[in-house]
Amino acid sequence: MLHPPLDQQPIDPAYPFRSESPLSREERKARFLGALKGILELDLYDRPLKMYLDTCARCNNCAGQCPVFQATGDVHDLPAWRSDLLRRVYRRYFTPSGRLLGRLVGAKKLTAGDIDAMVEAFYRCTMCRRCAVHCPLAVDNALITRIGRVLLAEIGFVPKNITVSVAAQLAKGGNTSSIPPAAFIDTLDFLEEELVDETGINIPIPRDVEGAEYFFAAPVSDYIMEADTLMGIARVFHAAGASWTVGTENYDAINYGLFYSDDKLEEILNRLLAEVRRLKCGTLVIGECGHATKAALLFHKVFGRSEYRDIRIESILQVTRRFLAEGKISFAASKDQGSVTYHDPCNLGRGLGLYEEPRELLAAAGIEVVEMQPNREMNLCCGGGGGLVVAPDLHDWRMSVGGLLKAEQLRATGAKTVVAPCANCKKQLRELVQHHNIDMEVAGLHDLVGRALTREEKA
Amino acid sequence: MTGMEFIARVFPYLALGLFVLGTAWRFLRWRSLPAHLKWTLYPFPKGTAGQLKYMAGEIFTFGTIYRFNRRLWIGAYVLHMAMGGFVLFSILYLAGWLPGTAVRIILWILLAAPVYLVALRSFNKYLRAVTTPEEFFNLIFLAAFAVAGLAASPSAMSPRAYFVGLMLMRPDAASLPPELVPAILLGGLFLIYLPWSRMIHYISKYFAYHAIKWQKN
Amino acid sequence: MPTIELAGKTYEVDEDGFLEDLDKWNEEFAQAYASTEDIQGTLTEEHWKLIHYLRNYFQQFGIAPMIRKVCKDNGIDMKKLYELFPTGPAKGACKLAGLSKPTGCV
Repeated sequence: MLHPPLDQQPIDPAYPFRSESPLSREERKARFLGALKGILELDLYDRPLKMYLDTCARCNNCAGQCPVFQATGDVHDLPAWRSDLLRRVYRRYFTPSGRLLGRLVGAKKLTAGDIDAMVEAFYRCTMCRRCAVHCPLAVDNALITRIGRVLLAEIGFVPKNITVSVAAQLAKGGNTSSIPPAAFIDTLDFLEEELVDETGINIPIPRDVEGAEYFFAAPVSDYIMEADTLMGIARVFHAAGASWTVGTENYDAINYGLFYSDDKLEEILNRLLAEVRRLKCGTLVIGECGHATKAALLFHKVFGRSEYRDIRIESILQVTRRFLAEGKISFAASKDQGSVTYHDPCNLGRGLGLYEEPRELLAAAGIEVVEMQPNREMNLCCGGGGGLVVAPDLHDWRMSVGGLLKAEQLRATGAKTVVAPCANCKKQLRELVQHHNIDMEVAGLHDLVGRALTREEKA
Repeated sequence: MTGMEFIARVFPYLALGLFVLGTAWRFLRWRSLPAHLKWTLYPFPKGTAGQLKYMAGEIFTFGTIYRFNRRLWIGAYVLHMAMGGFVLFSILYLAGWLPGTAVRIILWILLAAPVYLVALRSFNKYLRAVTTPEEFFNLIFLAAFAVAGLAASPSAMSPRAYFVGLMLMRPDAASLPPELVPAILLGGLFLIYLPWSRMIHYISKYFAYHAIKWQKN
Repeated sequence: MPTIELAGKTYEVDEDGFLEDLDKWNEEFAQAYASTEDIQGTLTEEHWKLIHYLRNYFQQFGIAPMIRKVCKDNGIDMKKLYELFPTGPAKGACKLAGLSKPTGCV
């Protein structure tokens, strides 16, 4: 058989992630098609989506770039095959040739089984966009994955761990890790004490300062996991003499809407912007987090309410880099760090072009970077992107499939520390080095940058 | 008008006209689509010169496929170059600067490349998984055109007079060698079909790069 | 609501096995869970110290403390923390202590 019917191919029975929709199998089809129609009529995605759905030369160049396919060698992990799950439905229902010629032009009627296959396929893609770098036709499968997930969310298929976090975030005063304000304040106090212990000077983490220039929002999980990153950032702001603040009514930059829902993305983004506005700050600075930075920077002008459009949004990487350029911060001769390698988070690198800022900061701090091979736009995803790191059921899959190549790549550097300015990557990388017995520390960028700052005596 | 007269005097213009119209329609349609969402992929070549250089390199070498997919590249590259080469060689032949043998060699290549690609897409597990009947149809279409062209040549009558007449807008049914009719039909139908097929990437490539992947913020 | 039977008693838990109600916790619960979280044999003094510490903080603040705070307040380092709870503080330690499951990127 030249072209095996795609829907007759079983999805991987060993794949641990399952999401259940409350709708009947019949209802799912109709609503899915309705949602697809809605998206195609939406101006927002017109250009890229239609282009990607209309053209794909099926050359499989993407296969060689996909870390998931490279790990499994399974036809279901071919990016072109995955995208085709949506493409063939689009062709069947929304193009004249597909309506007329059906399977002859790769169009196919939607079945509930196709939807099952999509649930799995679109959650086996980490949306890293590595495949788009070398697509001869510049098709970006990550956008198709994203739209696929948006459609699946419309019919009730969303990973539970993500919905739980988003519901917690959208509750009044909530955040994805459900850290209550009192615990948040207690944590800030603890970090300030730690900063005194480490530097001998008072480095405040200002709260609710009206009119501060910079409003800082970290991925909220940093307040549980990443003390060093937060302390490094506080040290940078302090050293630069910048006026900055965190908000106690909303302190979470995480925006899982990027992974599955425009509505959620919009709501989460505007709630954060509202907090920036409450404190009358000019610039929203997103902490070390790839997806949150991309969600805010890319969708600010699209989904941000018009009254918030004047708020500037920047990554902390850009801010610190600028402080360095303006001579507001400087670095002392660095203590020996041991060898350090740098991991490019997909959303910061391919997504936003922040390749050189972190490297320049590390270089200025006297830290020599052993580059991973490949790096920058060809860097491999940590294996936990696209929200997959949030799902504990996917732990084994992330270790043995999603992050398999990454683990080999880390080991090959022989570095003692891997720096990744992204909460998502750091969590995945820590689990990877533990699982694969790689003797390596995982750190954020500002962990190292903060420690290398010239001692500031402003108290 | 007889069928033969239609094929000789109307159909070539009709096919070319529909090809131009279809291409223009798709070009304008895509150009009119709003681009609200920035979906840039970093880094990208800076400036018009850099972008043109990248694009020219990509079009004339198929560099990305060459780097990562050598076996497919052999077929795809040869096929695309043969398509361009066929047009170029045909013009040079009609101008009298190339012998008919040159066009026949190109047609042989234009037959071999699709055959190779059909085989590759049939026997390579991963290519087969992403290949639809449309790919096979397109390849067989091209191969059929090459066969028709080869079957028509060398004919008793030189096709040069007919094509020159066609180009000078004085088409003459009497000067059309009958052996050439299948090739004219297939070639014309291919032109009509091209803008509506997946092969529209000769246009979409421009947008996908310049208007999406390389869009400045 | 899923339930789990440990040492002859039934507990209401979420689907990842985290206890629903902090107050339903008891020491048998923690001990019975130890093996599923890769802890060999009976829980040691060091385990109990951490478990009670986590429970106290949770009772006061409704969340587990920052990992660095856990280490600092208990005089241990991260390495030691992972030796005690191989599946990690967020998963293993919180689960044994009867805390609700940490969410988000933790």
